[in-house]
Order: sequence, then structure tokens, then C-alpha cells
Amino acid sequence: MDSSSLEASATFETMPPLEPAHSLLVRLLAVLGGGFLGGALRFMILNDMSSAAGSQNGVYPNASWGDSFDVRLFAINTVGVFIATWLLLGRMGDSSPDAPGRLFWTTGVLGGLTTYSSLIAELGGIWGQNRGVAVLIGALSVGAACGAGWLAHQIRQRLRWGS
Amino acid sequence: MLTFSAFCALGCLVRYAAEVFAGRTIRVQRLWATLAVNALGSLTVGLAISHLISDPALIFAFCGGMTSFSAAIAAPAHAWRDGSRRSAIVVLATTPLLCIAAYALGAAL
Repeated sequence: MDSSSLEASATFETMPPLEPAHSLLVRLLAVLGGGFLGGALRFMILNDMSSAAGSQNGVYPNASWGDSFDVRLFAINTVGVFIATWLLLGRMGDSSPDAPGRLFWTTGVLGGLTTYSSLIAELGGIWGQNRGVAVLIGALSVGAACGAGWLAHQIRQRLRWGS
Repeated sequence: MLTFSAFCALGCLVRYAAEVFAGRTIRVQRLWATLAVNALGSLTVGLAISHLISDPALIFAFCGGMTSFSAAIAAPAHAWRDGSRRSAIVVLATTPLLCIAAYALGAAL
């Protein structure tokens, strides 16, 4: 074997193994499918279920910018954090971050359901009206989410000790 | 609703691509990519609201999928469990500040 083929062989051995195309396709479909489902859930929750077809209200917060705190967005984000933490601190968290099930539920469904940008936009709208309230709502939202994550962690630990 | 969900799914795909890029190419933990896309999404929403688009519903759909509140909290919790406590605290603490700053920047541009 000449030096060039030896070098090529060595390069080949140090390359990460190529993944099959169907594996990539499954992962993309898991993210897209989960994101679609999460987005649909967010749309339905943030809109009035009865008027979802025609109304833009709630698709993004504060359409009129005269409204303030959207409790539905707060609930979505808090519950989403609880479920995501619950899942990631369980068996799903031990799996590969590219496992299709984990991608579907955490990256897709919960990622599509919860949103940071809408929360920030909501706070931006409230900031223009009352800065103190904006800071309070921001702190409340992040604090409640951290509390939800902590609660999920505590319940996971209790269940582990109990079993 | 279908268009909204489709844009949301595309946003999720961008977030996942950023996480894979961070993990495989830059070789950093994926929660840093989550932090980056959350800030980028906030910047985009700030831009959209202030300047560009009169009806930003689809921007909100896309950015809502790209940014993730659940990942912003759950990913640091997972990293904390795995021993990356400094990264977990830094990401948890800086995400809201960075997102607010990015939104303000987008609105001011």
C-alpha cells in the first residue's frame, strides 16, 4: 500500500461514521411533526377555540397592545417547562439527544408549544405602559417556570426513592 | 391554523439544526445553541413588531417554534443533573437578559 492510500485509509478511520439517510429523515420528521403539533396546540390555546378560524387575537400577544398579561401564555410556558423537565430528568434524558422520541416530544411538541419570543414581545408591550409591571410579570414568568422545573425534579426524586 | 403550525414546525427545525451544529461542529453543549436561538428569535420579533410587518402572525409562529421556553429551563436542569452546573446556571440566568436585550435591539434598529 503506497503512502497516499495509507493516508486516505487513516483519514477514513478517523471520520465519524456516516449515518444512514433514513435516520436523518426520521429525525427531521420527528422535529417537524412535533413542532407542527405543538404549534397547532399553541394556536388553539392562544385563540378562542370557538373563533380560531377567523380571529387573529392571541396568535401573538397583545394584538392591540392595550392588553397586558396573557395568562394563557403564562400557563402554556409553565406547564411546558414542567413536562419537559419531567421528561428530560427521566429515561428520555438518558437517551441520545437525537433519539426520535425525544426529538418529537421535547424539541418538537414542547418546543413548538412554549415560546420565549412571544413572552418577550408581551413584556415589551407592557414595558411601554408600565415598566414595573413588565419587570414583575417577567420575574413571575421565569420564577414560575423555575418552580415548575424544580417541582418536576422533586417528584422525580421522590418516585425514584419510593421504588 | 395549518399555516401557523407549519411555520412553527420550521422554526423548531431551525432550532434543532442550531443544536446539532453546536454539538457537532462547534463542539459545545446544545443548551448554548438554545440560548442563541432564543436570543435570535427575540431579536427577530422585535424587528418584526417595530418595523417590518403589519401583521406579524407568521413571524410569531416561526419565532415561537424557533424559541423554546421549555428548553430554556429544562435543558439547564438536565445539564445540572449531568454535572455541568456552571453552564446550567449561566444559561438559566443569561437567557432572559439576553432575550430582552435582543428584543430591545431589534425594536431599536
